[in-house]
Amino acid sequence: MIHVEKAALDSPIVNKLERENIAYAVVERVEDVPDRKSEIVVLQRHENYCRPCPGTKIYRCCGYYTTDVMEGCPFDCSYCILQAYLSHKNIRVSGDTVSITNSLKEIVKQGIPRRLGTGELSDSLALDGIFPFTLLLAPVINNQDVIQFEFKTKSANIRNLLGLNPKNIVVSWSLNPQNIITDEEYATASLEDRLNAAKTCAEAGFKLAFHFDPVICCNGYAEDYSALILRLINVIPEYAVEYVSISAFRAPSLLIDRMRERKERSAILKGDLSLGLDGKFRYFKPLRRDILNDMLRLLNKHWTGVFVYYCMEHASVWEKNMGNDPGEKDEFEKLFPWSKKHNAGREDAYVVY
Amino acid sequence: MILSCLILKRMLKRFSALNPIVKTLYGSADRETLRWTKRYLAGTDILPVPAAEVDGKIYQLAVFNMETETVILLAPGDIGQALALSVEIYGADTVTFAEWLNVYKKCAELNIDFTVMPLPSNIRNNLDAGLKLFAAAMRWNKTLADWLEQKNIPWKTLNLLAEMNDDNIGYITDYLAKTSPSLQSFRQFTESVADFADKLSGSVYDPAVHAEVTNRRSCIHREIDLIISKINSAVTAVNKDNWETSALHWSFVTKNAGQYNSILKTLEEVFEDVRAIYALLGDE
Repeated sequence: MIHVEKAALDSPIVNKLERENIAYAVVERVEDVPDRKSEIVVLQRHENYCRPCPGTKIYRCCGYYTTDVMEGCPFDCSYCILQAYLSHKNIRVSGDTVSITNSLKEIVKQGIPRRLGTGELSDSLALDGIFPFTLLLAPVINNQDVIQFEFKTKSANIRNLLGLNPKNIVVSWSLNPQNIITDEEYATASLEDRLNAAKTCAEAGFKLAFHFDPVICCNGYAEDYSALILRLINVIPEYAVEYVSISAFRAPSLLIDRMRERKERSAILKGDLSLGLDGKFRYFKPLRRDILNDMLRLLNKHWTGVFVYYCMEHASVWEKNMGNDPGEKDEFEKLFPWSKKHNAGREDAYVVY
Repeated sequence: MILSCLILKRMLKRFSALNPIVKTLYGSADRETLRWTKRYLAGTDILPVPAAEVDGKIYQLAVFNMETETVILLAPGDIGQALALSVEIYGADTVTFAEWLNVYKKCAELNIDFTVMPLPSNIRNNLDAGLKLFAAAMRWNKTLADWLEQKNIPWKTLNLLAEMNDDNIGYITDYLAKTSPSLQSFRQFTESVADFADKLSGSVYDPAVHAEVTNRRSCIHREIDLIISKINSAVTAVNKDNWETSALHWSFVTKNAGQYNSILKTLEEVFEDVRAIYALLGDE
């Protein structure tokens, strides 16, 4: 069920609902809407939509920026951080498209090459058929030279994208072996559907990214992730891939509690998790270091030119597996192809290892 | 005395809409029908005890273990409101799970809608889960119920218990009977039963079997544990951050030069073990 806050009735997002005869109910305030995943609310909030992705200094974090046009996700992954991070279950969509585009323009004004994306507090494409933020954002994104914008998804919903100029856009998929998708990533697209959608985007000229995040150490995981990588390499051409991230599961204790509250008990809870230096549970370090290393080696063997990084991983794991420490946000960010391209020729822009 | 006067004043003000009057009864009030707590209510041993008159019958609302003929008589509309009033007098936020369970039972017995009780936000905001929990708790055996009554169990642990089948509840009851755990141990045990429910069968708790079935540790982790336990005798080596760093903190005590010399030999003897740990950690 879609609800619209009175203040958002004139927004382009709601006008589009009108044009397409998509039913909605008008509410005074978002608080009037039942707090269920099946409820979507369009709100009017004037705020800054682009923020640095939260991270810690202890575990290496890149300089990614989030553009939070939506809070909440129609998918229902057992491990989703939103269960602990958001104070609501319903999906809240921003109708204030002016503030969203202004926020992007503010980032551009800084003149620093930035990567941004909408996939932090929601899935970027799952609801794009109803709320087409791809169509709204693409002209702004492609009109600027210093930003690269990522639409991150577990869906195969690429219809709107295919009509767009792919210039500054990266389309990315979170990947896991099919058995984990079945057991832990409820309502998401199958692995094959994700890969086929990615291949179609590559053929349409989009840059792609893949996120092995979270890597989950369940029975037979080493073989499953090897098979997954080989399948990826078999379907997707290397030239289309901008970057790949690999990250083992991590969770604050509140998320662990939320996962335990779920009706379907996650196999992740049986894992060798211990409290990390940032207060989050992570797999026992030697265990995750080994799987991250195996995956890195396999990817590097087949895709020699693709930038692979670890998200939120300890410097010692980087040093052991990659031979370097990427440093903190700004330094880390300079390793990305987008930053390298834009910083080419600027002596101060490079990190030398 | 000052405290009791303050409570009396507060009570008269708070419940002024219910026409409170101090009344001496011929006989005593009904202390059993609404008895949901064993708690003493500060100040009310001196005060006239609060009571409610419903359909001509007088029900005591607090200090249920004390018989009295003088009461502050309130006039709620029905027995449900009387019970809600009783909870409010004690302070809904101070009511334990075991007490809420008693209130729930009273509601069931007296055909009262439980949701009219002054539920605190943690129950009110998750009403379905709360009702499921109380319904499940009604079926729990006496050992578990008695234990829960003595301890202030976190709601998240109670919610895990509410999801468990009879075998799992029996298993936990057997654990309680065999180990008399601390609250922390009980919480962790319940979590392990919840996480490994598909691998645990029957209702007989065996510590060794339980430890093996619910062992979350990977092979490499167990190997490190084994070496550490081998090292730790005369000297102890501890990693304080769950092996996120490789730092081992060494400690030992000596009382004379001979003991110091002995420690030096021990440290030398465990060199290969230390090397093995760092090799497993990947820091060799």
